[in-house]
Amino acid sequence: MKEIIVFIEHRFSEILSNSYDALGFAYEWQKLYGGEISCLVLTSEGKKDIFNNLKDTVNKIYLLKNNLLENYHPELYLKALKDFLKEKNNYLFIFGQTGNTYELAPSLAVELSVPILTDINGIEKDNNQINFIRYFYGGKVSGKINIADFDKKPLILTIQTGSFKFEKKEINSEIMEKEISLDIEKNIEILEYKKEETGEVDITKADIVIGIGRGLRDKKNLPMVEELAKKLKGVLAGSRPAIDAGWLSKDRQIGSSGKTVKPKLYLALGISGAFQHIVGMKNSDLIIAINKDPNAPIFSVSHYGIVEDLIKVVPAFLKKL
Amino acid sequence: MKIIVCIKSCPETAESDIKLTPDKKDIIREKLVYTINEADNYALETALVFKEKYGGEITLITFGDKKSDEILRMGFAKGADYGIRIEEEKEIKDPLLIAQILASVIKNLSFDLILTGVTSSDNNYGITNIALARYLNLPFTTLVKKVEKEDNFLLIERELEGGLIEKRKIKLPSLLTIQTGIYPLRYASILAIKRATSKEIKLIKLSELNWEMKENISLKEYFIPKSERETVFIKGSEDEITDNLIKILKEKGIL
Ligand SMILES: Cc1cc2nc3c(=O)[nH]c(=O)nc-3n(C[C@H](O)[C@H](O)[C@H](O)COP(=O)(O)OP(=O)(O)OC[C@H]3O[C@@H](n4cnc5c(N)ncnc54)[C@H](O)[C@@H]3O)c2cc1C
Ligand SMILES: Nc1ncnc2c1ncn2[C@@H]1O[C@H](COP(=O)(O)O)[C@@H](O)[C@H]1O
Repeated sequence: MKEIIVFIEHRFSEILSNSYDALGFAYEWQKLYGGEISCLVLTSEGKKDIFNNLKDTVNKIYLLKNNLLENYHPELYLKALKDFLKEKNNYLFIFGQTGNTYELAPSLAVELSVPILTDINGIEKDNNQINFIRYFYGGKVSGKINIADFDKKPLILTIQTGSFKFEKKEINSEIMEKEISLDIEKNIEILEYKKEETGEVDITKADIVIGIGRGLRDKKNLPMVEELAKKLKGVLAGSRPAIDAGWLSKDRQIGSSGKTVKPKLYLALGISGAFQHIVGMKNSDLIIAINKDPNAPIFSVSHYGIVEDLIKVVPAFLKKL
Repeated sequence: MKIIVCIKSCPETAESDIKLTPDKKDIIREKLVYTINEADNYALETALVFKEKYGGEITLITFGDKKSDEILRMGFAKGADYGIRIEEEKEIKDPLLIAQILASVIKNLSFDLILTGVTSSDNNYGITNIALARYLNLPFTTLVKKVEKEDNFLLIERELEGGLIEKRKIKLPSLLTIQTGIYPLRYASILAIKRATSKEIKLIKLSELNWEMKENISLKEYFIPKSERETVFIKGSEDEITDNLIKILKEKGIL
């Protein structure tokens, strides 16, 4: 049977919520295939209390300590994970997908010669196989993926943000604390972290948010949506391409690498609804989407949908406001 | 500086009607338009900016079928110097294998920097790039939103969750995965596009690589995801739609 090991990522002394997605997946796996769940925390002696929240939710907690592990460093983390896992022969190693696991998960897979899948959002048993489910094509299509000899060989997974629920369980956790050595030559030096500045408007505080996406097409269509925002007493925000194109400032980006909003109304205009966007707005009280593609994934989280050209509907709507 | 950029030709799907083939193992591709993967376009842009600042040459590499010649040509038109296409005789789903294929060609080239996109818009893996770095034993950095060169290292800003930025230094040679929006994109002139059509693309056959290839992952089937909500679609004429919208907003106390 596989040992299920969940990687616990922390930053500024807090566990990232993505690690709970990974734990949620681990429970789901356990329901189907059994096995014991462990958590792995890389940390410094001074910050080891981080793991307190996990006590009594899993069978085992591995606490690998070194003062160099106080904060994330790709090469040191990779070395620690590799040394830890190479001793084991059958495991499932699970990360919550984050910016850092874009570095760690694939590099670890190569170092250990283990298959890897990213952004998993479902699993199902299928005779002797297991189907790992994830999005392709920006969420328009889902795929069921099979892994050769999945039961006999180790596997590395990352879990799509928000796709599995973590519910605290009462289990006596065994704690394995160990000081590790990390003797490597570093090519990377982490200098500092910088919080992105918020401009005049804080979109997370607004009751009404109008989100614009690539479907707005052109800067020249901005006045139209600005007027809409004004009339609805809301603020303009956008998907990543709307920010990349320079239509809006970075502090107005909604999604995994931007902000999370929960307004009374989220109006999505020309946004396809990739999961990186959806995680940032799906808990809004009321979601209305206008998109000319009836199969756009944004509709799957919307209360109301309008399948139309926004360049036509918005001006018509403005006239009646 | 010698820069290699890994680019991939992907179908535009966000705005297209996507249907599955009868065996559900693929999407119907006939009517789809192929372009350079969005993030790879930004990787190419970064290479072009570096070339302008520090001189040097840019080599584009892709593992793809004949259609991919188009994105190499577009790259030439923007200012890339060389193009290599490894012939994709059959679609490979395992990103580790794609990375090994790219590595087996790149290891014979001389370079200071490899640039890639953060993820591909078709597979959305975010694996191929970092796996490639490890097969070539290079240091790596993902999600790059700003980069500057100083002597033999790069100063980088990378983008984490919630807009948090991490600043780091990385030695050259190394591999970076470029996030969209790093620089505004340039467009190639018609004249440059014309000129690029006669430029040579080096073609490599998979069979020439001569090593055993094994895929550990396979696609069982695709399906169209189910809606999480019972979405109510507002239909009718423009007039009816906007009237209905206003009615709903009034009911919900928003207007
Ligand atoms: C690490 C990482 C982090 C990311 N972080 C974020 C993030 O924080 N936020 C984010 O949003 N994305 C993020 N992304 C990008 C995300 O994957 C998608 O690429 C992005 O959300 C797509 O934006 P879009 O919907 O505006 O564009 P597209 O996907 O191109 O969709 C455009 C939509 O507009 C519709 N449309 C076009 N014309 C019209 C018209 N005239 N009328 C009506 N509809 C029209 C189309 O049908 C289509 O659905 C991230 C990606 C990665 C890899
Ligand atoms: N077939 C390919 N040819 C060249 N580069 C690729 C290919 N597939 C992926 N890449 C590179 O790896 C990055 C990540 O791809 P993926 O792992 O599929 O998300 C892309 O942005 C490209 O830079």
